[in-house]
Amino acid sequence: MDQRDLVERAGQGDHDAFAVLVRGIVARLDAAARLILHDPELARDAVQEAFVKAWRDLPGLRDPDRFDAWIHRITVRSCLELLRRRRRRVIEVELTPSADVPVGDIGAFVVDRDQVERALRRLDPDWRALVVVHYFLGLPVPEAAAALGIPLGTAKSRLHRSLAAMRLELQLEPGSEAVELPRGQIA
Amino acid sequence: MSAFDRSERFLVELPEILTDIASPRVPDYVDDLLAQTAATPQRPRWTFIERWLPMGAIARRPLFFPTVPWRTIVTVALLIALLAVALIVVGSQSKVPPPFGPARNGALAFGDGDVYLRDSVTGESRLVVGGATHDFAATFTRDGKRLLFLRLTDGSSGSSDERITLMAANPDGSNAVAVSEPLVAPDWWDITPDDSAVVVATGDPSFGQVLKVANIRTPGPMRLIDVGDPAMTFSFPNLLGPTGTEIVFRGNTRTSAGRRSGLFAVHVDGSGLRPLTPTDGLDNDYLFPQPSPDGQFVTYTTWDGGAELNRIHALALQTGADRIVSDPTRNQGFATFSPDSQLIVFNTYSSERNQITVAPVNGRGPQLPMGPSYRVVQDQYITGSFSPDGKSVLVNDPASKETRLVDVTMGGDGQLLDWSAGNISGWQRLAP
Repeated sequence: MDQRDLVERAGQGDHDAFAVLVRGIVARLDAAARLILHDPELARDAVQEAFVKAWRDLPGLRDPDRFDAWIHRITVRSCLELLRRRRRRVIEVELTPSADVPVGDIGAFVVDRDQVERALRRLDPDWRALVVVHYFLGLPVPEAAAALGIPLGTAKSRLHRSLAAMRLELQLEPGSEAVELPRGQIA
Repeated sequence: MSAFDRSERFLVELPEILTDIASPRVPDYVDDLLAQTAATPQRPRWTFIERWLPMGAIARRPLFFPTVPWRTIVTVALLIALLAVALIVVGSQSKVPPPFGPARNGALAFGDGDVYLRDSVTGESRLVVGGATHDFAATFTRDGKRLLFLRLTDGSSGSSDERITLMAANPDGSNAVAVSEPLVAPDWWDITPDDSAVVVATGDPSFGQVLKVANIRTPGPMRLIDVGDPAMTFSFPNLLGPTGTEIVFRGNTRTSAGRRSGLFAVHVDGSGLRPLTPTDGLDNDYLFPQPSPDGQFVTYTTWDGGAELNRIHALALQTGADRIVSDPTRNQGFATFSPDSQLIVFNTYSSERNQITVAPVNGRGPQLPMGPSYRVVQDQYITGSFSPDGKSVLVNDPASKETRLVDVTMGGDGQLLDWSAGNISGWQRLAP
């Protein structure tokens, strides 16, 4: 059974079909939420809220082929909404156990992942979400803009400036002029 | 490695680095999550506004065929040419119904695939737009000189690649021309009072629609309405009577609390954006806004999550007073006004039955069922629309293909018509 069939069946109240859909995408959405929120508990809340909303409103999804884009949008907006509601909450920093790190040639990266994580964290959450949606979830910029509810031009501009800020943070552009952008809400 | 090389490589590696940082894994709360969703009721399909687009409400626009007294005009023209011209102008103007409000009943437009006109409720039907094209949602410009309808021009109906073009033709279906670009989900549109243009909400409703203007008289590139709020998405644009200088719409935009919905008005050129309600609604609030022809009220439908019911509200535009006008114990929504702005016709529904209902907008009178209740059939919804004179309601059930004409003062089963289309989209308005 392909995803379209699963979405159609879930939209008609088949919870087993919905469970198959959830198990297929929850890992990636949970990871995206952790990247955006930098808080595993908040990420859990955001993903749960997103899936409850998705299940409730699935009968209203017009085009089953847009399910992925739709659930991405719901999840990202759920993340940003939670962040705004709990802006003053102390962030719990997740330390990923080394055993969980996929085996790979980490040393081959031009930058250290901790540096990237720090640079990412320093971005404003809205900007960080855009980077995550585009570079991690792989949505094209127009769809990422739609997911975040911002115009395409704004998305392009923010993405450009976010990357410039991250490069600067990572000292990949030592000669670059400073980039003015909103700083992240650490807590 | 140069700084440039490192920078470029960083961009290439960023997706992999992010994957490494996040290390995606199935979280341990999946079972809890699924238990939570299993305990959550799904919203019934019929409560989604996107799946309930009563074309009768869309196409209740005015129509007029002027009957010019040619013989008299020619005679008079032989005597006083200038006076004859003046009489033509004055005579034509006097035959045009006002763009908003009651009018005399004229022809009916219907069809899904081909477009037909029926001269009156009891008259003959004739095909006006046929052929291999898929044409639907036909109505007329307010002056009756052009027939407007939608044409599926790309993709298959209901698919993500579906594109629909707004067409204009002569009333007999000839000289059909595209007046819009191929559009994604042009779910709602309305005609300006001077019949020069159509305002369309278009774009994937799941991701937010924009407002565009199509010129009917001289088709060309469509104009995007820029209201000065780049975060705003639009749905259900309707020209606000009695002047039609403003568009009333449901907007969704950024607020300090996140994205929220509300009702707004804006001039057709995009200037003068003003909120009509607080911008505090969630996805299921402030749906289906419909202004009264006299411009005094806007009705809208809001989902009451606590009661699991849709509610109809009436917002007084002068005072801002907002009250619920639907039965508090029943699921009711999607109201449109009578031509005299005194009554609303709406749908009362459950998971099993649909019922068209009429009630006074001021709440001082009973709710009257119009026609029998109809069995719910997936994605097919009954519609109820007032006749231009406001004396009757035309009830259509696309599933049973039953059409009834019901007296608004009597209610009940009304008159079962000996013809049925199930998808009547417009009723011609004539000068009183």
